[in-house]
Amino acid sequence: MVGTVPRLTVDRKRLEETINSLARIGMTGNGSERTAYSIKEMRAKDVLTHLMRRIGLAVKIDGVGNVFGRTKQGRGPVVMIGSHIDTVPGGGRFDGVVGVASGIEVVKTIIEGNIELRHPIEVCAFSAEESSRFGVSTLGSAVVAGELDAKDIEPLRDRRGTRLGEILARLGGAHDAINRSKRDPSDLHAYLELHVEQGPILEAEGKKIGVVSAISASSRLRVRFLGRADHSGTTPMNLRKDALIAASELILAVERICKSEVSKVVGTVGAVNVIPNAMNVIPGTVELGIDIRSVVSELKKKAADLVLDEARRIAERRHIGLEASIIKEDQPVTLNKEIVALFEDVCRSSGIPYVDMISGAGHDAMKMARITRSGLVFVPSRRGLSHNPDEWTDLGDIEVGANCLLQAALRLAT
Amino acid sequence: MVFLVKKTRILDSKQIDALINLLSKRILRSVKDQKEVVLIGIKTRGVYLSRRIADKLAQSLEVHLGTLDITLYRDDLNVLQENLTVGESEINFDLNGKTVVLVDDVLFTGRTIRAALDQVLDLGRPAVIHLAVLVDRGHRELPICATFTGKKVKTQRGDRVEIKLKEKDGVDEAYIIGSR
Repeated sequence: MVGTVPRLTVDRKRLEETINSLARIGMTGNGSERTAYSIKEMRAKDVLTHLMRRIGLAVKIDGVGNVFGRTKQGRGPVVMIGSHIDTVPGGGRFDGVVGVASGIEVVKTIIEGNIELRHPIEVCAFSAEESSRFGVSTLGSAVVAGELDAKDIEPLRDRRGTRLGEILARLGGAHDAINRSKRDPSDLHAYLELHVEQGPILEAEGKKIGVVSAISASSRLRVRFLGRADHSGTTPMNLRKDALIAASELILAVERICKSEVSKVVGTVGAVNVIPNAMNVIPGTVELGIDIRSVVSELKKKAADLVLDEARRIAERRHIGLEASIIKEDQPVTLNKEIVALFEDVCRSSGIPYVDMISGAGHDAMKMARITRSGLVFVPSRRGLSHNPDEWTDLGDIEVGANCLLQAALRLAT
Repeated sequence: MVFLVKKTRILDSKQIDALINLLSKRILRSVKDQKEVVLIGIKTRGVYLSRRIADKLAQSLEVHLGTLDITLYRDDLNVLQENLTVGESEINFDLNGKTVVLVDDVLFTGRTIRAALDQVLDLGRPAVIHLAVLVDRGHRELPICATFTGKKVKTQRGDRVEIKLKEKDGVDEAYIIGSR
């Protein structure tokens, strides 16, 4: 890796065309909608296979519909450049597509530059990165990384009751094919991903690239306060067991607890279910869904424990019942230090203003980090907007990101 | 109850060969001022026809050959019952600005061609798209017509037109099959 790295650059116009040809499928006004395993998403994958074959890549589709396009040059473990092309309902044009399109542009630039590859490069679009259809996010990369297998994903159902196993069987992904999608770590040299930030930090700090060192994970808590539903007119204030007031206290406590670990923990009470939810009835039962995230496991656990303690204290003081539990606890992922350093070095040597950051959202890179050295870089999202048709990233910023990806790929693969 | 099915041969091997020659000549004439042409065969039999036409054109100009599987674009697609696969179309070159000739064996309702057009336009933006068919059997349900037609055949709406090609069926023949 010592010596001069050729200063190739990507072709901005071609990159724009590639983004457009994917984002156009399922276009909805300003945004795009390609739900995992929908016809639109499959058509986009079909277009993707064409884009890959057109630049001379050998295309493979695994048992969960992940699409891989591999350079014919290079031997041994691959440098993988990936992201996803599925979207949330009412999604934007950039989430995921930017990473896959940039991967294609990077490889095209390398091929055109007649650069000899030591390692093959594989561009990849993972299936079902978004959890909106089957409730599981980064599904395709989780299977590739061996975190999930056929028995985990086949029983998953969407809201209409369609079983994922059935969809995959029709796609040619029978049980064994799903399990064969797991990749051996020895097949992989590194994994690189470019993604839109989906948050406001880069724009606020005036930086072009966010080099992600860790991806936070969430703990999900379900807290149910059990008070008593009474007549709102006849029950004196001192005799009430109002579950919603208890819940309100806890909501404020979540903010207080998470704020005390400034910038290390974020906490959200995103779901409130009030029963019976009528204006003339004192709330009898209130259920809260609480999401606490951090890149530091211990802090996340501490915050979750403090929230549960606080819930107990509130319930005791108000003489009402409590059912509380942690329903999901994921582990934060630290990305590979060498790849982080590589991205930082690429930014420094190219004069790209960058910032080290953590990712508050999950990405395929966090699954791939289980099996190979993985790195993730962000490009700015206008107003931090994402999962929204108005999501926007300037083409010039995407170009900077793609060039950063190109230099990193060159250093790893040549 | 007994249904009588009548099977009439409309083309033999020699005639099919002659029609492919005819189509090739017509295509060549229409693109004679160009250096290259793209032939895209619609699966299944359009693929074999496109290969035969490509062989004939290849002496005169550069031919790029691709195949199209229109399943994901069909207007009667039942997503809950059919096997849907990705990447079955093989077009290993850029379509932007090219002259494209779609090739199919039979032109009937026009729905297959509508699907093929939508698919091709998702893959790129050709300068022109033509259609070449071996047999046009009428009964269109969409405003679509072929640029190059081998033979027009009168049929009843309920008839079946069966094209057999050596590559798949071991023989070159065409039949109309209908109840009489």
